[in-house]
Amino acid sequence: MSSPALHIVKPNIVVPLGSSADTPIKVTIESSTLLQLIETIYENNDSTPTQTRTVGTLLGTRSDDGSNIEVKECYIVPHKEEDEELTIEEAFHISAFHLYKRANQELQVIGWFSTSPELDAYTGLFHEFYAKGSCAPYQPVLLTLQYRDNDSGEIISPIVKTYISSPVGLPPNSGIVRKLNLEKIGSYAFVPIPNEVTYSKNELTTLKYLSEASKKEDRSFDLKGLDELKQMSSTVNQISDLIKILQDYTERAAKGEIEGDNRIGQLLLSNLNYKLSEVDVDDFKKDFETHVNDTMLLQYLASCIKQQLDLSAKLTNFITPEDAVAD
Amino acid sequence: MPEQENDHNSSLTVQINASVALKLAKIGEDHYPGTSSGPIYGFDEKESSVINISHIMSFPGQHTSGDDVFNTRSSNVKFQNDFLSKLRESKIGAKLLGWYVTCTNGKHIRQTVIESVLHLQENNRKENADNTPVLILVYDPSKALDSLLSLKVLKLSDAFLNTWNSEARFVARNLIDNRLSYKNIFEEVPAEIKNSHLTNLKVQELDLSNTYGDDLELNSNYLKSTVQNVEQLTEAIDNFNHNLGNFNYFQRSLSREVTKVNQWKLRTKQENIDKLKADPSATVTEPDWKTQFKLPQVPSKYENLVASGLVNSYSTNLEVAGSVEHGKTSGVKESLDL
Repeated sequence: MSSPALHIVKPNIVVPLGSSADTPIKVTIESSTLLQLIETIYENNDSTPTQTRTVGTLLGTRSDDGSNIEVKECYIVPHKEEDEELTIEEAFHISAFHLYKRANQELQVIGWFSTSPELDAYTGLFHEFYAKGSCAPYQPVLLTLQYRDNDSGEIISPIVKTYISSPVGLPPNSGIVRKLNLEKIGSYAFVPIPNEVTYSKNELTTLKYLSEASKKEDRSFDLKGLDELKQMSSTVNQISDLIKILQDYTERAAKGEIEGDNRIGQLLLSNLNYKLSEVDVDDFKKDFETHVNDTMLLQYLASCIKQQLDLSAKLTNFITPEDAVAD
Repeated sequence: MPEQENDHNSSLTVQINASVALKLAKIGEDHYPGTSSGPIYGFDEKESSVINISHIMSFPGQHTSGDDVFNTRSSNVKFQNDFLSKLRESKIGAKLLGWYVTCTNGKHIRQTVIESVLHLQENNRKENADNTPVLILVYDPSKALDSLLSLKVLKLSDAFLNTWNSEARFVARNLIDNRLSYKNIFEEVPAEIKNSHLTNLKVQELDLSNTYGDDLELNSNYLKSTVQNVEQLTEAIDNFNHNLGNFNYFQRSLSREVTKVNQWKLRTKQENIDKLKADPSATVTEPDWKTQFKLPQVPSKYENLVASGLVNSYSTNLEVAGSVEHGKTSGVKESLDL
């Protein structure tokens, strides 16, 4: 197959035409979107040989200068690879994008993803589709997922890579191209750019349980008995373990057995700078007592309401008016 | 509903894909302190009675302040159908399983939610002979800020469905027969979050302990969530009282009417006896009281039930949050020797 794409995977090549203003430099992926992306690998159920990969659109936001990109949503776009022809369902891509945009106004098409880590002929064609289509005038970002080892073909933890591209070869309107009647489609040099996974606070809380599940044989976490008090007690245990480790560490560092890390020292210093003399213990005690009492009062009132409710439910006897007369 | 199906439903478990659980956390956080809702999609395996939730999407136009959490306006219905057809076009075998709601725990106990569930369930049954219960996924984002996960999968209880489908519906005897109270309108479905193999590998690789940042500041969301909870509780109680007021009014006017009916009955009886005394061969008729009197409209017990359920769940929230806070403060108190 004659490949119209040029594969140069080196970050140090000079980007010939990419205007520096709209060139993304950094890509951040929300952890929830990352998992969605990974799960798309399973969703390529097509057994026909017309698909060697699952591809789809990445939605997200771009910073004003286009240098930072956040990936927030993704969806699969059906396509067909036949001989050297590539069919992408553009109508699907557009209408799906509009659906997402309705739910979240700020979303833009920022690029595409592929479950094939290889940059081949089709990659260029896909890229062209996004570059000339919904991404213009910005450059699309390509995100690839690799879940098989290159050599052994074994399943590995998915590797996420992001690329930007620049067109290679002669500018399409140059005289030579016209003279030679060269067709120039999908020729890109892909340059890897760094990406980072971000976690929001809520995501972290859920991730904590996902990670717990990941250590188990059945890879699942049972939501039954997910009681707040139990959760708290396990968190408190974790904290006290951490404190023990820290204590042990600082003691050994103080004794000179190990060399202390300056960063940890600074962190402790800046966070534990309570001057005891400034805290009036009696006032603190009083405030604390008040808070405990408030909490208890609230609990008491809540249980009163529940009792009232129970009573009311028993006393509120709903009968049909006809029955009332019959009695 | 035949017995067999109840058995089938009781052994039901729900699997939530890791990505859905995480996305839900994100959506909830983005809309917090408001609420959000949207359709959930997935598939069910009839043989193993496992329902898998694989996709989630939020509705456009969320209610961020209003008193309702949920809305199946026609535009949202169209939206959820459009999204489903997109999933199917990309060869993902999925169907609409229900909805998610991110809100303070228990806020989902609403007539709109209940009726949407009933509607979809009915539709599924009629069109596809599908008896799988419609699910409601409830996530409380306020808890997550305190590192607690509050995620539940609910369905309408059989007690509620039986009452709803019965002829007499929400009258006292029927409620007792079906063991329905405001506490069990919804019931929890056993559920688990499931990592796929690849997610599992990736999650193990993520270094979560490193992401907490550089400050060790202690901040609790207890105050904020309690204030919100109390506000919602007050609102729910107002609503409940309004409902109860209607009921009291009904009872008063009913008892007035009943006395009138009974007096009228006595009078006609007396008249008949008098007539018979005067002329034993006279024909007497006992006219139906229903033609003479119109009894007041009975207020809906269903509304009362839902309102009670809401008050109950808010109160429970306060109790739970209180006991967690209590646990924390006692710990601090002990260790500081106050």
